[in-house]
Amino acid sequence: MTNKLSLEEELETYFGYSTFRLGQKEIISDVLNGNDVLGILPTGTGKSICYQLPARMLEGTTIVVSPLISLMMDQVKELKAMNFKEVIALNSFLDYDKRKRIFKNLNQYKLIYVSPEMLQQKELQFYLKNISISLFVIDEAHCISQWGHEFRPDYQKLKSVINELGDPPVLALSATATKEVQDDIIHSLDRSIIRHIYPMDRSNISLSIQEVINNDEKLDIITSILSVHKVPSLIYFSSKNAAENVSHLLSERLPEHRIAFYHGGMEQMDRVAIQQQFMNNQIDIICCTSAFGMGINKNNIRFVFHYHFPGQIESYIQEIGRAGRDGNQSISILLYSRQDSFLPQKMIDSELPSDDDLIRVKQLIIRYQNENKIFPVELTEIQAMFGLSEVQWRFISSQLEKHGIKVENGIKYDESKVDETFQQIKYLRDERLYLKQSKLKDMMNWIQLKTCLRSGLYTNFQSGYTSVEEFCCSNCGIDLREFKPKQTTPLIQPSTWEKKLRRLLVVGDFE
Amino acid sequence: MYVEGIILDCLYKIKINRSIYGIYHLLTGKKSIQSVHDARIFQLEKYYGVYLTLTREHFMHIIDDMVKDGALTEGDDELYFVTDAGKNRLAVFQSTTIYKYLNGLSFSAMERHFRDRLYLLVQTYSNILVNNYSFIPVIDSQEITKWVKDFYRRHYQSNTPDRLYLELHQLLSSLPKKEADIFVDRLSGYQYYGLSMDQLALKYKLSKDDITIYLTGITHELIKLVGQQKEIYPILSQLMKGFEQQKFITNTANQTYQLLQRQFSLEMIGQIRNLKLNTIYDHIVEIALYDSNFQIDYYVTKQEQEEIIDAIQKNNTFKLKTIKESCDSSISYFQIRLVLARLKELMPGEIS
Ligand SMILES: Nc1ncnc2c1ncn2[C@@H]1O[C@H](COP(=O)(O)OP(=O)(O)OP(=O)(O)O)[C@@H](O)[C@H]1O
Ligand SMILES: [Mg+2]
Ligand SMILES: [Zn+2]
Repeated sequence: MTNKLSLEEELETYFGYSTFRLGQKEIISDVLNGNDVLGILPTGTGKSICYQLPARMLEGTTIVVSPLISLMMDQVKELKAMNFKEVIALNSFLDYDKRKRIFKNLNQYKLIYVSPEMLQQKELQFYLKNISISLFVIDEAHCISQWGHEFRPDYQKLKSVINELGDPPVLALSATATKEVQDDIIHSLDRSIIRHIYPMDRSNISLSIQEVINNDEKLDIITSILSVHKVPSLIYFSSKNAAENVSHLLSERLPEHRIAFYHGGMEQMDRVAIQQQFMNNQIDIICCTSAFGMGINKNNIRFVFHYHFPGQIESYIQEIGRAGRDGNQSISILLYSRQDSFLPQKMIDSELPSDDDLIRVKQLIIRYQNENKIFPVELTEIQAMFGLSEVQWRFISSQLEKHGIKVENGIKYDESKVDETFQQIKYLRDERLYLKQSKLKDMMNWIQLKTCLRSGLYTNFQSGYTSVEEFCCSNCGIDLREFKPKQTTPLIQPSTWEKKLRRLLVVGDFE
Repeated sequence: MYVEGIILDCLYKIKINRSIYGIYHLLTGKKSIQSVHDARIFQLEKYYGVYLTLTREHFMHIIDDMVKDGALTEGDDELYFVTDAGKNRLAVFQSTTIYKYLNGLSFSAMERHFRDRLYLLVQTYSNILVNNYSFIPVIDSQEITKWVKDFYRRHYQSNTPDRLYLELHQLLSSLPKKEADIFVDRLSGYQYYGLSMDQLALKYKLSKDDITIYLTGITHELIKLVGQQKEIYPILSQLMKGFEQQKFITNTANQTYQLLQRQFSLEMIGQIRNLKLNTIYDHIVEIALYDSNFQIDYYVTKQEQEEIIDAIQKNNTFKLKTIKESCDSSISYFQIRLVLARLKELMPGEIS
């Protein structure tokens, strides 16, 4: 006679799913036993459950480090909708009073999402130390690794934060970590971690590459496919302008489809609007940059196009991973023209500081120290002052910090070390450049592959993959005519503003 | 056409008295005495701060396009002149409702808040109506969120959405259909998100600039209508709260004003506040602009005022340097600026 429910029953009670997906149960069991775990599961298959279920079951609080605020917000919203109310996303937007109030009552939450930057705050650390932390989760853990595709310096400081918080059990999760990156994660956390590595191939996503002569042909292909299929789709671009332009062109060519674009340069309100319109089936197609991706959990995306290909395979896997999260057949189509090979190279150049950039930064820093001047506080002002992009500045400043040069309230450093520091930064820059170039080369080689693309895509990550009979890849042969996804039926929009207003504010007036 | 119309109007009225960037600062609502001052003396108050997000590059781009279209000709030193074609375009713009609505100097500070509060309010009540208490807000500003929460705390009654609907319906009915359409298309609610600015522009076949001005114009009109009849808009009039006292005086000028009223001399005020005399002069000009009861005669005698006005008329200019050169050397820039601040009273009907 025991009251203990099986894990399946807990899953059913809390989330309404009757069975675990591959890997979930194994990871969760280890977590519940207090072990440190590294979990690698494919995109869109349910890594979140691996900590959300333990968070509900364990005494105390689970902390989740996540790289994107929008991603945290979405998850909190979904959890609340599932009646899990003791969750919160901490972000720097909270005003002082509210933050204080929340900080003092952290123990009332079972699940706390927080950004890695925020976790550096001593104030927050102080309050976290006073609650009982049962699990520390690192989502998108590849951000820890320099070799990962979205390196975030603050992720590397997590080890000391975890120590500060009294070494709770750790769960690190990612969908795109090579063996190298996995080792790096474990090394950086410096713990004995149990690895649960599952094959990350997605057998319901068919891989297609089509070489074209120019951009017009890309547009023709997209138009002809989407004119037959009215299904949720994404089209990835390497630049904001291209995303906007093609979005307009496509709207003209496909007047029956509802098309919009999304990129990081848009106003916050418009970004939320577009993302949520897509979630609510108000629009079918989004032309986007990589800013639209992580955390988009719409389950019926059927096509992911790449109008421009990304600079590395991991990004590609993340991006196509938006497709088919309901498990149904979906198709990714990469459109490649020879001219495109310059684009990722240009991007790489804009991400790392050039020799000139480094010289300029060095001279300014020396001048500021000599003249006892203070750097601006706003990140954007600092960037403008040095003439760097955000990514470039993040790279340099994290390195300076490592060498004991802090750019806050005026700088103080040992002058004799400056030359050496910058020499080191330059070496590191060269190393990163080389790495990125070799990743780009891997991507290009994969694109040129004549054999099975599925086999080629996943060999860097794992030894085998699930072979697929139909819809494997364009080299094995796919017949798009056989692809018959469920078409979306557009919502009927009220015809007048009066009716629209009624739908918003009068009960019973929306369908 | 709206942005172009606005710029044409500004160029037409300012002529060559200010550099082209004066117009840029006016449209983006630069909080400087100069910009407010310019708005006043050139009678361009309605355009103050109507396009807060306009970038300098884009502004120049619009100007260049108008030169290419023949609405403007370019002279030396970045000076631009409105052509006959430009005047025709201006006339078209001046016949629109949006032209009539715009009232930047009074409303630009309030407009953004008015709209953001309304967007979040409608979205919130739309969700509450169906007992949905968690949704992704369209506005993520802490300030606005707090305002809506406070509002909700005071208006939890179940008929609030209904009343909000009735007020909005009443208000929007006073607009032409197309304007109400655009305004409502931007609203979000339960499981429905309003159109982005780009989507609106596309749908109504307006440029992105024009949709921005369009929405701004409509909002100014709505603010005006609500303000005129607060009693019939008990909910909507609260969107304006906290802004009624908004006058165009900076805090620092206000402090100077307080000291001035306690009879301190300008030099004394400079010492007390540890500010340069020139800064205090700036404040005085600002005060002269803001408070029409403020007497400038104490700083510039009637006789000096006449001399300055003569110089303005003789040279047909508002350029400080030209005016200064054509007056007696004893007359200061400070005095000229004070006269310019009061030009409307001193030279009624003569500015065009
Ligand atoms: N056991 C399950 N049964 C059915 N559906 C599940 C199960 N576990 C998760 N899901 C659903 O799968 C979807 C994807 O989950 P989740 O967002 O956690 O993916 P992820 O692995 O974190 O993806 P990504 O790598 O893109 O972040 C969600 O809609 C979730 O509800
Ligand atoms: Mg995830
Ligand atoms: Zn294959």
